[in-house]
Amino acid sequence: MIYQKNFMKKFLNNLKWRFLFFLLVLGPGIITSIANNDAGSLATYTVAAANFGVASKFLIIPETLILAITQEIGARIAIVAKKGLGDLIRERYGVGVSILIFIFYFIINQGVVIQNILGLKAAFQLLNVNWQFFLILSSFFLIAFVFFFDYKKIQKLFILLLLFYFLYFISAFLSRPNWLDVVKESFIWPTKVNIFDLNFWFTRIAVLGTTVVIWGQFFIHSYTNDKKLDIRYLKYERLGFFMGAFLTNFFSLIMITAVTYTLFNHGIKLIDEYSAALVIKPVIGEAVFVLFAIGFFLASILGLIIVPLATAYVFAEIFGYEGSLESSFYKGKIFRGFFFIQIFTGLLIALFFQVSLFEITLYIDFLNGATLTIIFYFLIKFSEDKEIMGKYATSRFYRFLLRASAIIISILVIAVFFGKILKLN
Amino acid sequence: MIYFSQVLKKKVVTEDGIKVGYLDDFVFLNKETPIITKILIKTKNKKILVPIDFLIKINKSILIKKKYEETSLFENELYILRNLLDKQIIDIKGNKIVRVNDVLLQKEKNQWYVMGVDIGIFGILHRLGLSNFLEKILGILKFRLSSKLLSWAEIQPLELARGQVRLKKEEKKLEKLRPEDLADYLEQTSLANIEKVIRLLDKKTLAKVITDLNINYQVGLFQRMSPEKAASILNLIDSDEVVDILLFLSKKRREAIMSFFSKEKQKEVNYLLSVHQTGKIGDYLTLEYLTVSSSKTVSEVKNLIKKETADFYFLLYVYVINEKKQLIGVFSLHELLLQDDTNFVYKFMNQNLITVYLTTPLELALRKMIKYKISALPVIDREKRLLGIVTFDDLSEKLYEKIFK
Repeated sequence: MIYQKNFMKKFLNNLKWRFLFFLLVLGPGIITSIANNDAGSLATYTVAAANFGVASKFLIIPETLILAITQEIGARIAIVAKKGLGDLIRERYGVGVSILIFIFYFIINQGVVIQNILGLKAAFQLLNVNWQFFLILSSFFLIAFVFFFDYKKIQKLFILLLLFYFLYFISAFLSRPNWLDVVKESFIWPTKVNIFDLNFWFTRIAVLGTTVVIWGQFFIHSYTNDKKLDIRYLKYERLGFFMGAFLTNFFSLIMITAVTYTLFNHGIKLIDEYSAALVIKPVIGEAVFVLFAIGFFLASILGLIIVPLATAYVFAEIFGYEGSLESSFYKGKIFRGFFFIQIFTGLLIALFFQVSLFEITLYIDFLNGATLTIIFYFLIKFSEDKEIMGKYATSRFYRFLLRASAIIISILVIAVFFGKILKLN
Repeated sequence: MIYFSQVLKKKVVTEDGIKVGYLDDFVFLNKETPIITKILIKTKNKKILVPIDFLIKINKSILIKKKYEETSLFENELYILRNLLDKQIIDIKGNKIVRVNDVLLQKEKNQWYVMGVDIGIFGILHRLGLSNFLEKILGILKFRLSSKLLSWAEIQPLELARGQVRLKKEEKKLEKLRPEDLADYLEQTSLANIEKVIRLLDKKTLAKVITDLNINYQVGLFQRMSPEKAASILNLIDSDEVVDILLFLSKKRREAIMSFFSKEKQKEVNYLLSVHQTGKIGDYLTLEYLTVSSSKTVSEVKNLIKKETADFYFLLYVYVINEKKQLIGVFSLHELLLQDDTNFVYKFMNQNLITVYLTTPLELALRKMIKYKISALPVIDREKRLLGIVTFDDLSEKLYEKIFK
């Protein structure tokens, strides 16, 4: 009897710890999946789905696998080598290559920052206020906020965003989608669009680029490094990443479904902030613009805070300065410098070029998606390297999948690129 | 002195002109003196390790002897490219500071060794092949880039063997090697080495480094330098210090250097030199002083004062010396009393020393006392060994005589 009691206690304790560990390791995956959905992503999903319906999530299964695997490999490298992708690129490929990579990375992140600044602009336009004035005001507020307040507390605000994404969720159901069609178009084969249309692939790569973001590839290292996770918990970790990848793609599929059955099926292809807001109209009716503006505002702020941080982090890694998610880094020159530069550049571009987020969002995310192949190259190289990984080198299946997707993406990118230049469509 | 990145990938040729391959790496002994022992050459189909003895010289290409042999890596040997270049430098607590941007190699007495690492932007530009171009542009703008060096003496070899470039000291802000540290480091090497290193420094830093050098090195340097260059450096150093150095030089040399001084400086230095005849510090030396080692605690020093200085006529300062009897620090009794009893001397002593030599003119010593508000100056010899002290009280007697009699 006593034995049994002890056993139960032990078992329960064990279970409790296991659950705690599970949550701990699940964290990075879920947070990444939320952080993935900034205003730029929302815009890209909206434009993509309005033009190509659910087919813009065609090949969703390999996409999910790629997201999970790249994050898992990244985390594994971080745990085993105690180094990030930036560290390893510098140490293995020298100054020249790493500076080149950083410049490229900076440009892509600047693109994402511009997306999100334009997201703010869209939100202000929806609210019918002087967007120039409010854009400048909110940029300066943002800079002041990040400089003077505890960064970690600001992050908690983003839980609110979950509520906003939930609206898409409800909207998707209220628009009475044909779920069989959704599955067919995304899992099996698109029937409603021309699969040989280069514009379709251009859009598809952009959607990939906003799902598997470059900065996420670098950032996951930092996150696991800072959490000081142990190799023993790698299997929980793996579960976490698959969970995160599943959730990210599930969310995006739901959003895309909502857009498809509110816009695509009604032939609304020209997207601006008003039509984008219509997606959640089935849920809230006439107050739609105000609510959409608030949600979009928050999603933009999310991107604007996280992306410059990711830029600064990689800079610190490559040049060997102290970089971490701990508070001293936020108070350091590097983070503040990049934060200021990226926000300010974004602001100038938004003010002096009359562009809308929905016009350029696909181009920026296409660049992101096209660059993935380079990141895959490094991931494959490092994770195969016995010198770095020892017995934790990646399995053949992973390597095959990464290589295959790198090749396919490269071919598609080249085809789309030349197609666009030669105006084949 | 050369940068590692300058020789990497250079063609390796035997003395009769046959191409062997390209330089792929250097191997060095991971010890206090990191001598380069082997070179790694990448030939057409493999990489070979050749002992450094076969190296003839490094020029546009790397020349090695005709009948070279191959060898293998020994214990305690590391590669520059693989184990040092681009690696993260951390301080004693494990904080990341910066990365190794380039490695500096130095040749002395027919031996190559790792002198230190470059941690500045200059090192990065070197690697990218942009340094010459940028230096020209900045030269037009009258802006000069200087290297940020970290000497080998500051890196822990044991940690390097474990794959970490860890510093010996905690350095919160590693801007540059501090001039005092660089001087200390340079004093451990040869005069030839110092000459090479100081070519890398900008004049301001150079002036500081030279001020901190041992007088023997100072004299050696200024004897070898062109009078014009010597004058341009001395121009940046305090006149008091300048006179101390000049007095050790030959009269001819002294005058050659001084002809390049600015007019004001000339006037000032000339005046100080003229008072030289009035009397030397040596005549006023007191041997009543207390020295302690830097590892003593405050309470130990207090006991020592009680025990040994009972019959002293004057005691204001306690001098700190090392095993070689060289003066390394000083503190006043006031500073001593402010410390906790368990504190160590090295933690609070002043390392910034104001000193005079036996040959220092009386008036110059007085000027130093008034300028720095010190009532007793330590008198040292060329090796920085403490010979005695000279107190304001003793000098004031002489002053009194001069004024009133």
